[in-house]
Amino acid sequence: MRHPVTLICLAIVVAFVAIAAFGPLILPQDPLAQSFIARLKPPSAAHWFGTDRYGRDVFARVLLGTRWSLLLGLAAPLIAGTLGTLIGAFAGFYGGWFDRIAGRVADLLMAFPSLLLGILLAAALGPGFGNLIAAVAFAFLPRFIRVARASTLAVRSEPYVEASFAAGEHPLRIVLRHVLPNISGPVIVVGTLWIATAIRIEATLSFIGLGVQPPAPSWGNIIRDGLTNILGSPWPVVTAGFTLTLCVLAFNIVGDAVRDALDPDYRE
Amino acid sequence: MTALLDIENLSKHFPGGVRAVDGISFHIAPGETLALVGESGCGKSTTSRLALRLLEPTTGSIRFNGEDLRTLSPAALRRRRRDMQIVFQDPYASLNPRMTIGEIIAEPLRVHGLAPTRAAMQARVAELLDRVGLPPDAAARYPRQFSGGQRQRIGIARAIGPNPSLVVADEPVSALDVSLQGQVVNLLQDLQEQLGLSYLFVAHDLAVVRHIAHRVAVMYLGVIVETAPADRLFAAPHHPYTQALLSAAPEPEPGAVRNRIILQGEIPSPRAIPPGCRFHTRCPLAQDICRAQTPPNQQVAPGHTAACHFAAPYPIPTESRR
Repeated sequence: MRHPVTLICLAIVVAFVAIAAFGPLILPQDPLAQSFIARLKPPSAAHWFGTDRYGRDVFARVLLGTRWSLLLGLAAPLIAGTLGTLIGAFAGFYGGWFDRIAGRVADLLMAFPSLLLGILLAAALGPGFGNLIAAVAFAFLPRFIRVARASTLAVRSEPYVEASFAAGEHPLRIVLRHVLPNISGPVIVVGTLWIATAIRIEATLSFIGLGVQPPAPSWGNIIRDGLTNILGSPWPVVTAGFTLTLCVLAFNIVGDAVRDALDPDYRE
Repeated sequence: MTALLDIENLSKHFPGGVRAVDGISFHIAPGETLALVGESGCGKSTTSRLALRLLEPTTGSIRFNGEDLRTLSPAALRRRRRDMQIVFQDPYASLNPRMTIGEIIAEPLRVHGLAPTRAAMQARVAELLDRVGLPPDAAARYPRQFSGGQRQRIGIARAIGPNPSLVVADEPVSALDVSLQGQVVNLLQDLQEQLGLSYLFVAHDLAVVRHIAHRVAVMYLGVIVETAPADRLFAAPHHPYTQALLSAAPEPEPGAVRNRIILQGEIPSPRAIPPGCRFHTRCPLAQDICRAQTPPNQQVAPGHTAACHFAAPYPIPTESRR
Protein backbone atom coordinates (compact mmCIF):
# COMPACT_ATOMS: atom_id res chain seq x y z
CA MET A 1 0.00 0.00 0.00
CA ARG A 2 2.93 2.31 0.71
CA HIS A 3 4.55 1.65 -2.64
CA PRO A 4 5.14 4.97 -4.50
CA VAL A 5 3.46 3.71 -7.69
CA THR A 6 0.40 2.77 -5.66
CA LEU A 7 0.32 6.21 -4.03
CA ILE A 8 0.62 7.95 -7.40
CA CYS A 9 -2.21 5.80 -8.77
CA LEU A 10 -4.29 6.53 -5.70
CA ALA A 11 -3.76 10.25 -6.35
CA ILE A 12 -4.79 9.74 -10.00
CA VAL A 13 -7.92 7.86 -8.92
CA VAL A 14 -8.81 10.64 -6.49
CA ALA A 15 -8.24 13.22 -9.26
CA PHE A 16 -10.50 11.31 -11.66
CA VAL A 17 -13.22 11.05 -9.04
CA ALA A 18 -12.93 14.79 -8.35
CA ILE A 19 -13.13 15.55 -12.06
CA ALA A 20 -16.16 13.33 -12.43
CA ALA A 21 -17.86 15.05 -9.50
CA PHE A 22 -16.90 18.66 -10.09
CA GLY A 23 -15.55 18.72 -13.68
CA PRO A 24 -18.70 20.09 -15.30
CA LEU A 25 -18.57 23.08 -12.93
CA ILE A 26 -15.14 24.11 -14.19
CA LEU A 27 -15.58 23.31 -17.88
CA PRO A 28 -13.18 25.54 -19.82
CA GLN A 29 -15.47 25.57 -22.87
CA ASP A 30 -18.84 24.28 -23.95
CA PRO A 31 -18.19 20.64 -24.93
CA LEU A 32 -21.03 20.77 -27.46
CA ALA A 33 -20.25 24.13 -29.10
CA GLN A 34 -19.22 23.57 -32.70
CA SER A 35 -16.94 25.85 -34.66
CA PHE A 36 -16.41 25.59 -38.39
CA ILE A 37 -13.15 27.56 -38.40
CA ALA A 38 -11.56 25.71 -35.43
CA ARG A 39 -11.89 22.15 -36.81
CA LEU A 40 -9.26 19.45 -36.24
CA LYS A 41 -6.82 21.74 -34.47
CA PRO A 42 -3.81 20.35 -32.60
CA PRO A 43 -3.43 21.13 -28.88
CA SER A 44 -2.99 24.80 -28.04
CA ALA A 45 -3.42 27.15 -25.10
CA ALA A 46 -7.09 27.58 -25.99
CA HIS A 47 -7.75 23.90 -26.72
CA TRP A 48 -5.45 21.74 -24.54
CA PHE A 49 -6.42 18.49 -26.27
CA GLY A 50 -7.12 20.13 -29.66
CA THR A 51 -10.47 20.12 -31.39
CA ASP A 52 -12.49 17.46 -33.20
CA ARG A 53 -14.00 17.48 -36.68
CA TYR A 54 -16.88 19.70 -35.54
CA GLY A 55 -14.47 22.13 -33.92
CA ARG A 56 -15.54 21.05 -30.40
CA ASP A 57 -13.03 21.35 -27.57
CA VAL A 58 -11.73 17.79 -26.90
CA PHE A 59 -10.48 18.65 -23.41
CA ALA A 60 -13.95 19.75 -22.35
CA ARG A 61 -15.43 16.63 -23.91
CA VAL A 62 -12.95 14.30 -22.19
CA LEU A 63 -13.58 16.13 -18.92
CA LEU A 64 -17.31 15.60 -19.23
CA GLY A 65 -16.84 12.04 -20.45
CA THR A 66 -15.05 11.21 -17.18
CA ARG A 67 -18.39 11.54 -15.45
CA TRP A 68 -20.01 8.80 -17.53
CA SER A 69 -17.02 6.50 -17.37
CA LEU A 70 -16.68 6.72 -13.62
CA LEU A 71 -20.38 6.65 -12.96
CA LEU A 72 -20.64 3.37 -14.80
CA GLY A 73 -17.31 2.16 -13.43
CA LEU A 74 -18.56 2.58 -9.88
CA ALA A 75 -22.28 1.94 -10.31
CA ALA A 76 -22.01 -1.38 -12.15
CA PRO A 77 -19.72 -3.11 -9.60
CA LEU A 78 -21.73 -1.55 -6.76
CA ILE A 79 -25.07 -2.84 -8.07
CA ALA A 80 -23.63 -6.21 -9.11
CA GLY A 81 -21.78 -6.43 -5.78
CA THR A 82 -24.86 -5.71 -3.68
CA LEU A 83 -27.17 -8.05 -5.56
CA GLY A 84 -24.55 -10.73 -6.14
CA THR A 85 -23.49 -10.72 -2.49
CA LEU A 86 -27.05 -11.14 -1.28
CA ILE A 87 -27.79 -13.91 -3.79
CA GLY A 88 -24.48 -15.66 -3.13
CA ALA A 89 -24.78 -15.37 0.65
CA PHE A 90 -28.31 -16.77 0.78
CA ALA A 91 -27.46 -19.50 -1.74
CA GLY A 92 -24.41 -20.55 0.24
CA PHE A 93 -26.15 -20.27 3.60
CA TYR A 94 -29.41 -22.04 2.84
CA GLY A 95 -28.22 -24.42 0.11
CA GLY A 96 -31.00 -26.46 -1.48
CA TRP A 97 -32.81 -25.59 -4.68
CA PHE A 98 -32.09 -21.86 -4.51
CA ASP A 99 -28.36 -22.62 -4.31
CA ARG A 100 -28.53 -25.03 -7.21
CA ILE A 101 -30.40 -22.61 -9.46
CA ALA A 102 -28.20 -19.62 -8.53
CA GLY A 103 -25.09 -21.74 -9.01
CA ARG A 104 -26.16 -23.02 -12.43
CA VAL A 105 -27.18 -19.56 -13.64
CA ALA A 106 -23.87 -18.12 -12.43
CA ASP A 107 -21.96 -20.90 -14.21
CA LEU A 108 -23.94 -20.24 -17.38
CA LEU A 109 -23.22 -16.51 -17.29
CA MET A 110 -19.57 -17.09 -16.43
CA ALA A 111 -19.21 -18.98 -19.70
CA PHE A 112 -19.46 -15.63 -21.50
CA PRO A 113 -16.67 -13.05 -21.23
CA SER A 114 -18.21 -10.08 -19.40
CA LEU A 115 -17.52 -7.80 -22.37
CA LEU A 116 -19.45 -10.07 -24.72
CA LEU A 117 -22.29 -10.43 -22.23
CA GLY A 118 -22.31 -6.65 -21.77
CA ILE A 119 -22.55 -6.09 -25.52
CA LEU A 120 -25.28 -8.69 -25.83
CA LEU A 121 -27.37 -7.19 -23.06
CA ALA A 122 -26.74 -3.57 -24.10
CA ALA A 123 -27.87 -4.47 -27.63
CA ALA A 124 -30.94 -6.26 -26.30
CA LEU A 125 -31.92 -3.46 -23.91
CA GLY A 126 -31.23 -0.71 -26.42
CA PRO A 127 -29.20 2.49 -25.98
CA GLY A 128 -29.40 4.63 -22.85
CA PHE A 129 -27.18 5.07 -19.85
CA GLY A 130 -29.51 3.28 -17.44
CA ASN A 131 -29.61 0.27 -19.73
CA LEU A 132 -25.84 0.40 -20.02
CA ILE A 133 -25.42 0.21 -16.24
CA ALA A 134 -27.94 -2.62 -16.05
CA ALA A 135 -26.17 -4.55 -18.81
CA VAL A 136 -22.70 -4.25 -17.28
CA ALA A 137 -23.97 -4.92 -13.76
CA PHE A 138 -25.70 -8.07 -14.96
CA ALA A 139 -22.54 -9.16 -16.78
CA PHE A 140 -20.62 -8.84 -13.48
CA LEU A 141 -23.27 -10.48 -11.32
CA PRO A 142 -22.01 -14.09 -11.55
CA ARG A 143 -18.52 -13.12 -10.32
CA PHE A 144 -19.96 -11.67 -7.14
CA ILE A 145 -22.36 -14.57 -6.64
CA ARG A 146 -19.40 -16.94 -6.87
CA VAL A 147 -17.20 -15.06 -4.44
CA ALA A 148 -19.97 -14.41 -1.94
CA ARG A 149 -21.18 -18.02 -2.08
CA ALA A 150 -17.71 -19.50 -1.58
CA SER A 151 -16.95 -17.13 1.32
CA THR A 152 -20.34 -17.89 2.86
CA LEU A 153 -19.69 -21.63 2.77
CA ALA A 154 -16.49 -21.01 4.73
CA VAL A 155 -18.16 -18.69 7.25
CA ARG A 156 -21.20 -20.90 7.62
CA SER A 157 -19.16 -23.71 9.17
CA GLU A 158 -17.53 -21.37 11.70
CA PRO A 159 -18.42 -22.18 15.31
CA TYR A 160 -19.61 -18.61 15.91
CA VAL A 161 -22.36 -19.21 13.38
CA GLU A 162 -23.28 -22.44 15.16
CA ALA A 163 -23.21 -20.48 18.42
CA SER A 164 -25.74 -18.07 16.97
CA PHE A 165 -27.98 -20.97 15.93
CA ALA A 166 -27.60 -22.38 19.43
CA ALA A 167 -28.59 -19.01 20.89
CA GLY A 168 -31.88 -19.30 19.00
CA GLU A 169 -31.16 -16.60 16.44
CA HIS A 170 -33.30 -16.53 13.31
CA PRO A 171 -31.32 -17.75 10.25
CA LEU A 172 -32.10 -14.55 8.39
CA ARG A 173 -30.50 -12.49 11.13
CA ILE A 174 -27.53 -14.85 11.24
CA VAL A 175 -26.90 -14.02 7.60
CA LEU A 176 -27.15 -10.29 8.34
CA ARG A 177 -25.20 -10.19 11.59
CA HIS A 178 -22.58 -12.88 11.11
CA VAL A 179 -22.25 -13.87 7.46
CA LEU A 180 -22.38 -10.55 5.59
CA PRO A 181 -19.85 -8.70 7.79
CA ASN A 182 -17.43 -11.60 7.54
CA ILE A 183 -17.62 -12.01 3.75
CA SER A 184 -17.39 -8.26 3.05
CA GLY A 185 -13.58 -8.35 2.69
CA PRO A 186 -13.36 -10.66 -0.35
CA VAL A 187 -16.40 -8.99 -1.95
CA ILE A 188 -14.87 -5.51 -1.64
CA VAL A 189 -11.65 -6.82 -3.15
CA VAL A 190 -13.48 -8.26 -6.16
CA GLY A 191 -15.49 -5.04 -6.47
CA THR A 192 -12.45 -2.78 -6.69
CA LEU A 193 -10.82 -5.08 -9.23
CA TRP A 194 -13.88 -4.87 -11.50
CA ILE A 195 -14.12 -1.07 -11.52
CA ALA A 196 -11.39 -0.78 -14.17
CA THR A 197 -13.05 -3.49 -16.26
CA ALA A 198 -16.38 -1.67 -16.06
CA ILE A 199 -14.74 1.54 -17.27
CA ARG A 200 -13.18 -0.36 -20.14
CA ILE A 201 -16.48 -2.00 -21.06
CA GLU A 202 -18.24 1.38 -21.02
CA ALA A 203 -15.62 2.78 -23.40
CA THR A 204 -15.95 -0.25 -25.67
CA LEU A 205 -19.74 -0.10 -25.76
CA SER A 206 -19.73 3.66 -26.41
CA PHE A 207 -17.12 3.07 -29.12
CA ILE A 208 -19.38 0.66 -30.98
CA GLY A 209 -22.40 2.89 -30.43
CA LEU A 210 -24.18 0.93 -27.73
CA GLY A 211 -23.18 3.20 -24.86
CA VAL A 212 -23.39 6.93 -24.34
CA GLN A 213 -25.10 8.43 -27.37
CA PRO A 214 -23.64 11.41 -29.27
CA PRO A 215 -23.57 14.33 -29.01
CA ALA A 216 -23.10 13.61 -25.30
CA PRO A 217 -19.37 12.90 -24.89
CA SER A 218 -17.83 9.75 -23.49
CA TRP A 219 -14.28 8.49 -23.89
CA GLY A 220 -15.46 5.68 -26.12
CA ASN A 221 -17.43 7.82 -28.54
CA ILE A 222 -14.74 10.53 -28.63
CA ILE A 223 -12.29 7.87 -29.82
CA ARG A 224 -14.82 6.50 -32.30
CA ASP A 225 -15.51 9.96 -33.60
CA GLY A 226 -11.82 10.81 -33.87
CA LEU A 227 -11.13 7.65 -35.83
CA THR A 228 -12.75 9.17 -38.93
CA ASN A 229 -9.99 11.75 -39.24
CA ILE A 230 -7.18 9.94 -37.45
CA LEU A 231 -4.70 10.55 -40.27
CA GLY A 232 -5.46 14.25 -40.44
CA SER A 233 -5.72 14.84 -36.69
CA PRO A 234 -4.92 12.04 -34.22
CA TRP A 235 -5.42 14.28 -31.17
CA PRO A 236 -8.93 13.30 -30.07
CA VAL A 237 -8.04 9.60 -30.30
CA VAL A 238 -4.67 10.04 -28.59
CA THR A 239 -5.86 12.25 -25.74
CA ALA A 240 -9.06 10.36 -24.96
CA GLY A 241 -7.26 7.04 -25.37
CA PHE A 242 -4.47 8.12 -23.05
CA THR A 243 -6.98 9.33 -20.46
CA LEU A 244 -8.84 6.02 -20.63
CA THR A 245 -5.60 4.02 -20.30
CA LEU A 246 -4.40 6.10 -17.37
CA CYS A 247 -7.72 5.74 -15.58
CA VAL A 248 -7.97 1.96 -16.08
CA LEU A 249 -4.35 1.48 -15.05
CA ALA A 250 -4.74 3.58 -11.92
CA PHE A 251 -7.91 1.77 -10.83
CA ASN A 252 -6.31 -1.61 -11.52
CA ILE A 253 -3.24 -0.86 -9.42
CA VAL A 254 -5.30 0.59 -6.58
CA GLY A 255 -7.56 -2.47 -6.81
CA ASP A 256 -4.54 -4.74 -6.48
CA ALA A 257 -3.36 -2.75 -3.49
CA VAL A 258 -6.78 -3.05 -1.83
CA ARG A 259 -6.68 -6.81 -2.39
CA ASP A 260 -3.20 -7.00 -0.90
CA ALA A 261 -4.30 -5.00 2.11
CA LEU A 262 -7.56 -6.85 2.78
CA ASP A 263 -6.89 -10.39 1.64
CA PRO A 264 -4.80 -12.25 4.22
CA ASP A 265 -3.61 -14.69 1.53
CA TYR A 266 -1.75 -11.89 -0.24
CA ARG A 267 -0.56 -10.15 2.89
CA GLU A 268 3.13 -10.43 3.58
CA MET B 1 -36.74 -39.22 38.95
CA THR B 2 -37.62 -36.83 36.15
CA ALA B 3 -34.74 -36.24 33.79
CA LEU B 4 -34.04 -32.79 32.36
CA LEU B 5 -32.72 -34.35 29.19
CA ASP B 6 -33.75 -37.84 28.16
CA ILE B 7 -32.32 -39.22 24.98
CA GLU B 8 -33.46 -42.48 23.54
CA ASN B 9 -32.12 -44.56 20.69
CA LEU B 10 -30.61 -41.51 19.06
CA SER B 11 -28.67 -41.98 15.85
CA LYS B 12 -27.16 -39.86 13.13
CA HIS B 13 -26.19 -41.39 9.82
CA PHE B 14 -24.41 -39.28 7.25
CA PRO B 15 -24.52 -39.86 3.49
CA GLY B 16 -22.06 -42.52 2.38
CA GLY B 17 -23.02 -45.04 5.05
CA VAL B 18 -21.33 -43.18 7.90
CA ARG B 19 -22.99 -44.18 11.18
CA ALA B 20 -21.51 -41.43 13.35
CA VAL B 21 -23.97 -42.02 16.19
CA ASP B 22 -25.68 -45.36 16.14
CA GLY B 23 -28.48 -45.70 18.66
CA ILE B 24 -27.54 -44.20 22.01
CA SER B 25 -29.63 -43.51 25.09
CA PHE B 26 -28.82 -41.47 28.17
CA HIS B 27 -30.41 -39.00 30.52
CA ILE B 28 -29.29 -36.06 32.60
CA ALA B 29 -30.99 -35.09 35.87
CA PRO B 30 -31.40 -31.45 36.95
CA GLY B 31 -28.15 -30.16 38.43
CA GLU B 32 -26.22 -33.17 37.22
CA THR B 33 -23.08 -33.41 35.09
CA LEU B 34 -22.93 -36.28 32.64
CA ALA B 35 -19.55 -36.66 31.01
CA LEU B 36 -19.43 -38.18 27.55
CA VAL B 37 -15.98 -39.61 27.00
CA GLY B 38 -14.31 -41.24 24.03
CA GLU B 39 -11.60 -41.02 21.42
CA SER B 40 -11.69 -38.54 18.53
CA GLY B 41 -14.17 -39.70 15.92
CA CYS B 42 -16.31 -41.77 18.29
CA GLY B 43 -19.30 -39.51 17.69
CA LYS B 44 -19.31 -37.58 20.96
CA SER B 45 -19.29 -34.15 19.34
CA THR B 46 -22.05 -35.24 16.96
CA THR B 47 -24.02 -36.43 19.99
CA SER B 48 -23.62 -33.05 21.67
CA ARG B 49 -25.09 -31.34 18.57
CA LEU B 50 -27.92 -33.88 18.35
CA ALA B 51 -28.81 -33.37 22.00
CA LEU B 52 -29.57 -29.71 21.21
CA ARG B 53 -31.02 -30.54 17.81
CA LEU B 54 -28.38 -28.39 16.18
CA LEU B 55 -28.07 -31.42 13.95
CA GLU B 56 -31.14 -33.28 12.77
CA PRO B 57 -31.09 -36.87 14.15
CA THR B 58 -31.77 -39.82 11.85
CA THR B 59 -33.75 -41.70 14.50
CA GLY B 60 -34.54 -41.42 18.19
CA SER B 61 -36.12 -38.96 20.56
CA ILE B 62 -34.74 -36.01 22.53
CA ARG B 63 -36.91 -35.19 25.50
CA PHE B 64 -36.08 -31.90 27.14
CA ASN B 65 -38.21 -31.14 30.20
CA GLY B 66 -40.53 -33.90 29.02
CA GLU B 67 -41.05 -32.35 25.60
CA ASP B 68 -39.72 -34.02 22.44
CA LEU B 69 -37.53 -31.46 20.71
CA ARG B 70 -37.99 -33.30 17.44
CA THR B 71 -41.69 -32.43 17.32
CA LEU B 72 -41.12 -28.70 17.77
CA SER B 73 -41.49 -26.26 14.89
CA PRO B 74 -38.38 -24.23 13.97
CA ALA B 75 -39.81 -21.15 15.72
CA ALA B 76 -40.75 -23.08 18.86
CA LEU B 77 -37.32 -24.72 18.92
CA ARG B 78 -35.63 -21.33 18.69
CA ARG B 79 -37.65 -20.12 21.67
CA ARG B 80 -36.71 -23.26 23.61
CA ARG B 81 -33.02 -22.62 23.01
CA ARG B 82 -33.07 -20.06 25.82
CA ASP B 83 -33.04 -23.01 28.18
CA MET B 84 -30.23 -25.02 26.58
CA GLN B 85 -26.93 -23.50 25.65
CA ILE B 86 -23.55 -24.66 24.40
CA VAL B 87 -19.87 -23.94 25.05
CA PHE B 88 -17.55 -24.79 22.18
CA GLN B 89 -14.18 -26.46 22.00
CA ASP B 90 -12.43 -23.80 19.94
CA PRO B 91 -12.27 -20.55 21.91
CA TYR B 92 -10.96 -18.72 18.84
CA ALA B 93 -13.45 -19.68 16.13
CA SER B 94 -16.49 -19.62 18.40
CA LEU B 95 -16.46 -15.83 18.81
CA ASN B 96 -17.29 -13.65 15.79
CA PRO B 97 -14.09 -11.60 15.21
CA ARG B 98 -16.11 -8.60 14.05
CA MET B 99 -18.27 -8.28 17.14
CA THR B 100 -17.32 -6.82 20.50
CA ILE B 101 -17.44 -9.02 23.58
CA GLY B 102 -20.49 -7.06 24.71
CA GLU B 103 -22.32 -7.78 21.45
CA ILE B 104 -21.34 -11.45 21.60
CA ILE B 105 -22.63 -11.94 25.12
CA ALA B 106 -25.71 -9.85 24.38
CA GLU B 107 -26.79 -11.95 21.40
CA PRO B 108 -28.76 -14.68 23.21
CA LEU B 109 -30.17 -12.07 25.62
CA ARG B 110 -31.39 -9.95 22.72
CA VAL B 111 -32.79 -12.95 20.84
CA HIS B 112 -34.94 -13.94 23.79
CA GLY B 113 -35.79 -10.38 24.83
CA LEU B 114 -34.17 -10.80 28.25
CA ALA B 115 -32.84 -7.25 28.54
CA PRO B 116 -35.44 -4.82 27.23
CA THR B 117 -33.43 -1.62 27.59
CA ARG B 118 -29.91 -0.63 26.69
CA ALA B 119 -29.04 0.01 30.30
CA ALA B 120 -30.45 -3.35 31.39
CA MET B 121 -28.39 -5.06 28.71
CA GLN B 122 -25.20 -3.30 29.75
CA ALA B 123 -25.79 -4.18 33.37
CA ARG B 124 -26.50 -7.83 32.54
CA VAL B 125 -23.40 -8.12 30.33
CA ALA B 126 -21.25 -6.58 33.07
CA GLU B 127 -22.73 -8.99 35.60
CA LEU B 128 -22.02 -11.97 33.34
CA LEU B 129 -18.45 -10.82 32.73
CA ASP B 130 -18.00 -10.53 36.47
CA ARG B 131 -19.38 -14.04 37.00
CA VAL B 132 -16.73 -15.51 34.71
CA GLY B 133 -13.96 -13.38 36.20
CA LEU B 134 -13.50 -10.73 33.52
CA PRO B 135 -13.46 -6.94 34.02
CA PRO B 136 -16.52 -4.96 32.87
CA ASP B 137 -14.48 -2.95 30.33
CA ALA B 138 -13.96 -6.21 28.37
CA ALA B 139 -17.40 -5.59 26.82
CA ALA B 140 -16.07 -2.88 24.50
CA ARG B 141 -13.15 -4.94 23.24
CA TYR B 142 -12.81 -7.49 20.44
CA PRO B 143 -12.10 -11.24 20.72
CA ARG B 144 -8.58 -10.93 19.27
CA GLN B 145 -7.58 -8.89 22.31
CA PHE B 146 -8.09 -11.87 24.61
CA SER B 147 -6.18 -15.07 25.31
CA GLY B 148 -7.60 -18.55 24.77
CA GLY B 149 -8.54 -18.97 28.43
CA GLN B 150 -10.25 -15.56 28.55
CA ARG B 151 -12.09 -16.30 25.32
CA GLN B 152 -13.41 -19.52 26.79
CA ARG B 153 -14.69 -17.53 29.77
CA ILE B 154 -16.45 -15.22 27.29
CA GLY B 155 -18.01 -18.28 25.62
CA ILE B 156 -19.21 -19.45 29.03
CA ALA B 157 -20.64 -16.01 29.84
CA ARG B 158 -22.57 -16.10 26.56
CA ALA B 159 -23.91 -19.57 27.39
CA ILE B 160 -25.13 -18.80 30.92
CA GLY B 161 -26.58 -15.39 29.93
CA PRO B 162 -30.15 -16.52 29.30
CA ASN B 163 -30.19 -18.62 32.51
CA PRO B 164 -30.34 -22.02 30.81
CA SER B 165 -30.99 -25.20 32.73
CA LEU B 166 -28.75 -27.28 30.46
CA VAL B 167 -25.33 -26.36 29.10
CA VAL B 168 -23.64 -28.66 26.62
CA ALA B 169 -19.89 -28.25 26.95
CA ASP B 170 -18.15 -29.72 23.91
CA GLU B 171 -14.57 -30.32 25.02
CA PRO B 172 -14.51 -26.88 26.66
CA VAL B 173 -10.96 -27.19 27.95
CA SER B 174 -9.17 -29.44 25.46
CA ALA B 175 -7.88 -26.47 23.46
CA LEU B 176 -6.44 -24.84 26.57
CA ASP B 177 -3.11 -25.16 28.38
CA VAL B 178 -3.17 -27.61 31.26
CA SER B 179 -2.66 -24.73 33.70
CA LEU B 180 -5.86 -23.07 32.44
CA GLN B 181 -7.91 -26.26 32.18
CA GLY B 182 -8.30 -26.50 35.94
CA GLN B 183 -9.40 -22.87 36.21
CA VAL B 184 -12.08 -23.24 33.58
CA VAL B 185 -13.31 -26.56 35.03
CA ASN B 186 -13.52 -24.92 38.46
CA LEU B 187 -15.43 -22.00 36.95
CA LEU B 188 -17.91 -24.40 35.36
CA GLN B 189 -18.28 -26.20 38.68
CA ASP B 190 -18.85 -22.95 40.61
CA LEU B 191 -21.45 -21.84 38.08
CA GLN B 192 -23.21 -25.18 38.42
CA GLU B 193 -23.48 -24.70 42.18
CA GLN B 194 -24.62 -21.09 41.91
CA LEU B 195 -27.07 -21.52 39.04
CA GLY B 196 -28.15 -25.16 39.36
CA LEU B 197 -27.01 -25.99 35.85
CA SER B 198 -26.94 -29.42 34.27
CA TYR B 199 -23.98 -30.22 32.08
CA LEU B 200 -23.44 -32.56 29.21
CA PHE B 201 -19.67 -32.46 29.38
CA VAL B 202 -17.94 -33.91 26.34
CA ALA B 203 -14.27 -34.82 26.76
CA HIS B 204 -11.60 -37.18 25.58
CA ASP B 205 -9.60 -36.77 28.75
CA LEU B 206 -10.70 -38.77 31.77
CA ALA B 207 -8.48 -36.75 34.10
CA VAL B 208 -10.58 -33.63 33.40
CA VAL B 209 -13.83 -35.52 33.76
CA ARG B 210 -12.87 -36.94 37.16
CA HIS B 211 -13.23 -33.51 38.75
CA ILE B 212 -16.52 -32.41 37.34
CA ALA B 213 -18.63 -35.42 36.36
CA HIS B 214 -21.32 -37.01 38.49
CA ARG B 215 -21.82 -39.76 35.95
CA VAL B 216 -19.73 -40.86 33.00
CA ALA B 217 -20.80 -42.41 29.70
CA VAL B 218 -18.02 -43.94 27.61
CA MET B 219 -18.54 -43.86 23.85
CA TYR B 220 -16.90 -46.03 21.27
CA LEU B 221 -17.63 -45.87 17.55
CA GLY B 222 -21.09 -44.36 17.80
CA VAL B 223 -22.42 -46.25 20.83
CA ILE B 224 -22.20 -45.94 24.60
CA VAL B 225 -20.29 -48.95 25.93
CA GLU B 226 -20.42 -48.17 29.64
CA THR B 227 -22.32 -45.78 31.90
CA ALA B 228 -21.70 -45.44 35.63
CA PRO B 229 -21.53 -42.96 38.48
CA ALA B 230 -18.14 -41.27 38.18
CA ASP B 231 -16.48 -42.67 41.30
CA ARG B 232 -17.71 -46.16 40.46
CA LEU B 233 -16.48 -45.97 36.89
CA PHE B 234 -13.03 -44.91 38.03
CA ALA B 235 -12.98 -47.52 40.80
CA ALA B 236 -14.39 -50.47 38.90
CA PRO B 237 -14.59 -50.17 35.12
CA HIS B 238 -16.53 -53.11 33.67
CA HIS B 239 -15.85 -52.65 29.98
CA PRO B 240 -12.38 -53.42 28.60
CA TYR B 241 -12.43 -50.20 26.58
CA THR B 242 -13.12 -48.13 29.70
CA GLN B 243 -10.33 -49.94 31.46
CA ALA B 244 -7.94 -49.19 28.59
CA LEU B 245 -8.94 -45.49 28.61
CA LEU B 246 -8.45 -45.31 32.37
CA SER B 247 -5.04 -46.89 32.13
CA ALA B 248 -4.04 -44.15 29.70
CA ALA B 249 -5.09 -41.30 32.00
CA PRO B 250 -2.40 -39.81 34.22
CA GLU B 251 -2.63 -40.90 37.86
CA PRO B 252 -3.18 -38.00 40.21
CA GLU B 253 -1.00 -39.60 42.89
CA PRO B 254 2.70 -39.70 42.21
CA GLY B 255 4.20 -43.17 42.32
CA ALA B 256 0.87 -44.91 41.90
CA VAL B 257 0.99 -48.23 40.11
CA ARG B 258 0.23 -47.82 36.46
CA ASN B 259 -0.32 -50.55 33.98
CA ARG B 260 -0.97 -49.05 30.63
CA ILE B 261 -3.10 -51.10 28.34
CA ILE B 262 -2.08 -50.26 24.81
CA LEU B 263 -4.92 -50.91 22.38
CA GLN B 264 -3.86 -52.35 19.07
CA GLY B 265 -4.69 -50.59 15.82
CA GLU B 266 -6.89 -47.61 15.03
CA ILE B 267 -10.50 -46.94 15.77
CA PRO B 268 -12.38 -48.46 12.77
CA SER B 269 -14.14 -46.16 10.32
CA PRO B 270 -17.79 -45.38 11.11
CA ARG B 271 -18.35 -46.25 7.45
CA ALA B 272 -17.43 -49.91 8.09
CA ILE B 273 -18.49 -50.78 11.62
CA PRO B 274 -17.32 -54.29 12.63
CA PRO B 275 -20.09 -56.86 13.17
CA GLY B 276 -20.85 -58.19 16.64
CA CYS B 277 -19.23 -56.14 19.35
CA ARG B 278 -17.75 -53.15 17.56
CA PHE B 279 -14.79 -53.12 19.91
CA HIS B 280 -13.72 -56.69 19.11
CA THR B 281 -11.07 -55.66 16.55
CA ARG B 282 -9.02 -54.02 19.29
CA CYS B 283 -10.15 -55.86 22.40
CA PRO B 284 -7.61 -58.07 24.19
CA LEU B 285 -10.48 -60.25 25.47
CA ALA B 286 -12.21 -60.82 22.12
CA GLN B 287 -13.69 -64.30 21.62
CA ASP B 288 -15.80 -65.84 18.87
CA ILE B 289 -19.01 -64.64 20.52
CA CYS B 290 -17.75 -61.03 20.30
CA ARG B 291 -17.31 -61.29 16.56
CA ALA B 292 -20.78 -62.76 16.11
CA GLN B 293 -23.11 -61.17 18.64
CA THR B 294 -23.63 -57.57 19.68
CA PRO B 295 -23.35 -57.56 23.48
CA PRO B 296 -26.48 -56.35 25.29
CA ASN B 297 -26.29 -53.33 27.57
CA GLN B 298 -26.35 -55.19 30.87
CA GLN B 299 -26.80 -53.68 34.28
CA VAL B 300 -23.91 -54.71 36.49
CA ALA B 301 -24.92 -52.56 39.46
CA PRO B 302 -27.58 -49.91 40.12
CA GLY B 303 -26.95 -47.10 37.63
CA HIS B 304 -24.04 -48.94 36.11
CA THR B 305 -24.36 -50.61 32.70
CA ALA B 306 -21.77 -52.11 30.42
CA ALA B 307 -22.11 -53.52 26.91
CA CYS B 308 -19.66 -56.39 27.02
CA HIS B 309 -20.04 -60.19 26.95
CA PHE B 310 -17.39 -60.38 29.66
CA ALA B 311 -18.41 -57.42 31.78
CA ALA B 312 -16.69 -57.64 35.15
CA PRO B 313 -14.64 -55.32 37.33
CA TYR B 314 -11.30 -54.85 35.59
CA PRO B 315 -12.03 -57.37 32.85
CA ILE B 316 -8.49 -57.21 31.42
CA PRO B 317 -6.13 -59.06 33.78
CA THR B 318 -2.92 -57.22 34.67
CA GLU B 319 -0.06 -58.64 36.73
CA SER B 320 -0.02 -55.99 39.41
CA ARG B 321 -3.74 -56.24 40.19
CA ARG B 322 -4.40 -58.61 43.02
